[in-house]
Formats: sequence, C-alpha cells, structure tokens
Amino acid sequence: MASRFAESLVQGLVFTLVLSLIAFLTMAVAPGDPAEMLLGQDATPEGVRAMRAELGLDLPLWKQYAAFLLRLAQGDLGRSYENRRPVTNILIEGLVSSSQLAGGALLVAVVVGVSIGLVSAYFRNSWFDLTLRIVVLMAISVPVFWLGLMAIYLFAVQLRWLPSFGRGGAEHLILPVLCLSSAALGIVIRITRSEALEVMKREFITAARAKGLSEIVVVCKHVLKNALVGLITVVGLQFGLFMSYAVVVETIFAWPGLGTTLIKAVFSRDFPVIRGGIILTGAAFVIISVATDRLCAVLDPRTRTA
Amino acid sequence: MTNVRRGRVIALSVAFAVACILPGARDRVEAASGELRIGLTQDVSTWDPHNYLSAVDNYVYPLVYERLVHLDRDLKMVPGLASEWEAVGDRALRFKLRTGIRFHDGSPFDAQAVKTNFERLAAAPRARAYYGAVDRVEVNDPYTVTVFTKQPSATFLANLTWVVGGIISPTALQQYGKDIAQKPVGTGPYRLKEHVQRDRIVLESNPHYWGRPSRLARVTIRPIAEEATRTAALEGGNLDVIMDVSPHRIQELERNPNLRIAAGRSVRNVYLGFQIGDETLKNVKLRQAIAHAIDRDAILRHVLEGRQTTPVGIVPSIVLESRGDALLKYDPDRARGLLAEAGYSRGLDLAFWTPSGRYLKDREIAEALQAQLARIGVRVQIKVWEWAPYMAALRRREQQLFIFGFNYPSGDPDAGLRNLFHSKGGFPFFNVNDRHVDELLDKGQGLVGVPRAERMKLYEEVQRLLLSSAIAVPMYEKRNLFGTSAKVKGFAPHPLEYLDLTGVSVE
Repeated sequence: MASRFAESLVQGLVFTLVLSLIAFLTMAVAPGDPAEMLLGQDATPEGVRAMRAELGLDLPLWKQYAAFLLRLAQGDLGRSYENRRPVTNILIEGLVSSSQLAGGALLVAVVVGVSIGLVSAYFRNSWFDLTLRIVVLMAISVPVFWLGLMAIYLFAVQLRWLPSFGRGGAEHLILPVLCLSSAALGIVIRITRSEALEVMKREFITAARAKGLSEIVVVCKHVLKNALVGLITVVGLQFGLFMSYAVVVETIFAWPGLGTTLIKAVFSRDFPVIRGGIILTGAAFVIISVATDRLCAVLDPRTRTA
Repeated sequence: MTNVRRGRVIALSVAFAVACILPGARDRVEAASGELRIGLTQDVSTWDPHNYLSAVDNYVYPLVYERLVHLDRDLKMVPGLASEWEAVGDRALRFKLRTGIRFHDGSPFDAQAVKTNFERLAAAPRARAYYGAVDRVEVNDPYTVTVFTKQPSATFLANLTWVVGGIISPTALQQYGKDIAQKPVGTGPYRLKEHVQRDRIVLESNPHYWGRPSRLARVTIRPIAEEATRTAALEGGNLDVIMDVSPHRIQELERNPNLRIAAGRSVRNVYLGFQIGDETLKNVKLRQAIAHAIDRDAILRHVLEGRQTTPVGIVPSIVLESRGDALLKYDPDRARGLLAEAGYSRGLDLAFWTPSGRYLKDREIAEALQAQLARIGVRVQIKVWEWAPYMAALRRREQQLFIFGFNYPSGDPDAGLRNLFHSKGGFPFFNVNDRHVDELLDKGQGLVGVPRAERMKLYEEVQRLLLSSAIAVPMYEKRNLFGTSAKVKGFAPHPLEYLDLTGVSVE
C-alpha cells in the first residue's frame, strides 16, 4: 500500500511539472500583454518596455521558466501583477471560499441523492420511481445559472428569506449550495439507483434476507456500501465538470471563490495568478483522484492490491 | 483494515468535510444606522491611486484620498487640500495649503507631503500623462508649495483634479513601500477598516476629517460583477446603492416604491471610430457616407432604451458646451450619394471590431450599426473581442471600424482630444496624424491665463474638424445610472464617475 501511495505521489509530481510547463507556455503565447494592461492609456512603447523589464517578461522564455520553477520548488508562486499580493495568499483565500461552497454542495448532493437513489431502486418501476426519473432529467437539463437567478429572485427578492449574494453567515451558503448541488444531484441519483439495482440482484443480498436481516439493514448497510464504490468513482471523474459549474455559481452569487479569482486574472492577464491557479487546480485533481482510489479501497477490500 | 479502523477513517473524513463547509465566524453585514451598502461592478484592485488599474478603483479613491483642487458636480474648480492658488509666471502654480489637516495615520499634511506626492506622480507610468509636466516642486514654507512645469500648460491645474492624484501620507509610503497598494492612508472623510478581497470593503468615518462631517458611520462596498445579482440585491434590501443599472431594468425599478434611480451626466462618450490610416478608410467621402447612414436616435431609443444622452460632439457636453450642429446628421440618401462619389456605388465590405461588455450594449450597438450600414450597401463583419487583446490590436492599428469610449477625467477637453487625436496621444487608435489638429491642441495647451471661454472656442474648432471629416462618430453621451433605496437621501452620481458621499444619509 505504501509503495502504491509513493507511486501515486511520483505520478502526481510529474503531472504537476508537466502542467506547470503547459501553464507557462500557454501564457507566453496568449494574446494580450500584461504590461500594456497594467499601463493602460499610458502604455507608451518606452513605458511598456520598462514595465516588462520590471515584471521579468523581457527575459528569454527559458530563463523565465527556470526562475518560475525555482520559486515553485520553494513554494513561492510569485506576486500578482495587479496588486502585488503573494499569489499563494490569493489562491488559498479562493480555495477556502470555494471549498465551502463545493464541499457543501457535494455533501448535499451525496446525502440527498444517495437517499433518493436507494429509495428509487428499492421501489423500482413504481410511480415514485417513474416520477423521480422525470424530475431528475429536468434537474440535469436546467442550466445552473438560470436556477441561481430564479432562486435569488424568489427567496431573496420576493420572500426576503435569504441574502442574494456574497459570503457571510450560514444563511449566505444556502442558496449557492442548493444551486450548485443540483448540478451533481441528478447524476448521483442515477448512479446510485443503477448501482443499487445491480447490487440487489446479487446472491449475498438474498442470503442476508434469508438470514433474517431487516430490509433497512439490508438496504442501508449491504446495498449502500456496495453501491457507493461505483458512485465515488463517477463523482471523482465528474469533479472537473462540477468545478466548472462552481465557477458559474460563484459568479451569480458573487461568491469570492477560486473560479472568479481565476476568471478575473485571465481577463487582466495576471500571469502569476493564472499559472498558480492552473497548477493548484491540477494538484487538486491529483489529490481527488488519489483520495477516490483510497476511499474505494477502504470500502471494497477487493480493489486493494497486495 | 479492521472494521474499527475503517470506521475511524470514514468518521474523520466526514468531520473534515463538515469542517471545510462550516463558515468561520464572520460578521454579518446588515444595514445599521448610518451605514451605506454599495454594490460596484468589481473590487478595488489597488489602493495606490498613483498606480490605479481600473475605473472602479477611481470610484472609491475620493472617499479616502483628496487632491489639492477638486471639481464639483458642475465641473467647477473648488478648493480641496489647497485653500487658494495663483499662477506664478506661465510655468508655475503656487498653492496655499489648509492647515491642521492630518492623514489617517496621524502624520501632518503639509507642503513636504505635496512635494513627495507630486514627485511620485511625475514618475508613475499611469499618471505621467497628467503629472509628467511637473518639472520640480518647491516648498516655500510648511503650508505653501510652488509647482513648476516644464512647459507652459493651461491644462495643468485641471489635471490636478484627477482622482489619481490623491495625496498619500509620506510616512505611510516610507513605511509600507509597494504594500501601500493594500494599505491606504489619505486625508479623506473615510478610512479603510477592512478589505476582504473580492468580498467586501469596509470604510469607517474619519473622526478627524477637516471638512464637512460625514453622516455615515460606515460605508460597505461589495463587488458584484453580475448585473442581475446586483439589481436583485438592491431589490431584496441587501444593498442601498448599486452602480450601472441596466437600461432595460430601469422602468421596473422606477415602479418600485422602495427604490429610486439616480441618473447624472458623465464625462464619457462612446464612439464609432475609423482607423483612417487604413487604405479604404482614408477616403473622407466614404467615412462621411457611413456617418450619414447612422441613425443615432434609433439606437438611443431602441438599443439603449432612451436612457443615454444624445451627444453634441466628440467631447461630452458637460465638458465642452456645443450646439451639436457639427454632428453629421442621419441622411441615408446623402449617404448613398457620398458612397457613389467615393467610388463604392456597388457597396463594399469592412471589418467592424467591438469589445463585449466593456461599454453599455457595445455588441448590440455594433449589430444595430451593421444593419443600418447594410441599407446603403456597406457590409460590415463584426468581430467581438476580449478587452485585453482588443486594446493590443487597436494599438497595432489593424482595425477599420471600431467601438471605443473615453472619459475626460480632468473636466477639460484637452484630456480626451489630446489622447485620442494628437499624433503623440496615448490612444492613437484613430491614427490621426494631422498637423493642423496637433497645432490647435498644442496652442490650447499653451493658452495660460486666457479665460476658459476663449480656450473652449479653440477646442470647438478641433471638434468641428474631426466631426466634419468623420474621424469619429459619437454614439452616445453616457449617463451614470445608479439604483438606490428610498431610504438613501442626498445621493447623486458625480460626472467624473466617482463616489461623492458628501451629505448622503440613510434613514
């Protein structure tokens, strides 16, 4: 197990290195000069040259990359061109903020989705099951941004039950979390239902019932545990798509997360923030992937290697 | 793994997940007595006004920093940190400073502080266009300072009103260095209490402010890029003031008895521009034909919902009064005639560039213009740009037709006309290299001591030249549109596009 973890770590480091090179080269060829952006109307040729020298953009590309790698090895992602703040601070703030939103949404999606999926599988082909499948299809089809705006209009403007934007107390989380969870809810319900139906056909379930175990114990312990492995794998794979929805939700609700930070950095050509964001996001994927593997191994001993 | 250990792993994972989700202890921002909550389109990028980065930064600076001289809502010059001033020859201005003023950090405001700031401004790349004229600054006594310019400059005093010239505490500059970008220390009616990036800015009233006391204990600024969310926040009572209300929402908001629309004139015009260095667009008759084909009123009525103002010239009317008779009028028959005279009786194809979301309804205006020009046989291909590469491409002068807006932050016509149309201007997108225009603009700069009305005649002449040869077609004069709660009293937009909260209160 230790060697498998070490292998994953090495793979992750290589992946991050490759990603850093891609991030670096992409920014180098992207249209739009950060020096011109920073100088605005005073972007005289001399001024642009001076600013590029100040930002280190006048060096050959390989020297810029070497300096970047050296700083990266020391955990230094540089400073924002815009406000000179350390990129690490900027990204950590965004990550904490996004984690609240994404974590909450995922928790809601999994808890609610798994529950509904199990019930739907248990009462398969009933009116409840058929109705639910239609509702799930609608939930998957509704654009997240539309749902967010409608939620704001209903709960914040008309009913005034909840705030319409921003980060604050727990009540600020409700609308954005519910909105974002809808992006994952449909797929969680469908996968849970599908996996649960598959598991319910297995002999050990029949054996459990024959032993006299109650239906609740059969479903909530044996069916659920076996269905979760497939679900966790799919959710892990969907993580990227989920984060793209998170960016939309952050924009709608003015939630100061990583997504909106990176969008702003792209528009203002803030290279250090963009590069740092790409590397951080890549690292997050690696961690999620490894965590998914570990969790599956915990739940299903058959997936563990010797 | 044993069952017990597996259970612990799962329990720890769930606990970690819940810990990530639960928000930390954060202050709940609710309206308290004397608090104003404002929604802007983006966050403040830097608190260093000398190196400002966006127009939204400029909205907030005057709450914290002040200049020697200000412009009131009628763009009349009024004393700021300087109580009086006089010209000394044609290359110097002497300022008598107000006494007893302290920066937010307690250090004194004096002539040395002005000298430090002006020298910094003269070297700052983004302020050089206005402060690069500074030759040297002399401290005559603790509250008298003389600023010498390299050349006679009739516009220099007006340039000092630009919000970018806010006076920063020299003590803070020395203490924080470049970190002044996060730690503002000025003399203004408010001081920064908290800035949570991209979430909120909290300003508290300056108890030692020298001027008219503020009626607001606290001003909270929230950046909300999405217009629908910003408007919903106002409607839901989560904000008291929002900027940039979309024209199509105004009627609906006006019907709401709890809300008001605060509209005001602006120093910004938006243009259809011609890059006249282009082989095709060098043809004056072609440009005039296009200008005559534009039904500006229809665009104002249908695209901008009647919420923006008909322009009277290149320069906004609040900066340069004009009868508007130099504008080329909508006349499709004349347009077709001029097109034929220009040698394009069969029509032609042109490229038309526009940013998206940079100016109000910029894409929609481009689409409307496309349809109008098609009626006379001018077929335009619209290319929509992201702002950063748009500016870079405009600077390379690869464009033909393009949409561009500009403001006049010092309230003087020279500010915009020089930048846009002088051969050495900072925005040479129109590619005007006209000696006569240069001479007129340089002459205007040199008219030191001449009454403003006389100077303005010269700029009116420049404007006529530019309009008659259709170098730029003004599309609209921007109106600043703010939404406010009915509880907010005394709020009005400032033409210079910054927040002026003097006398503003919340019931």
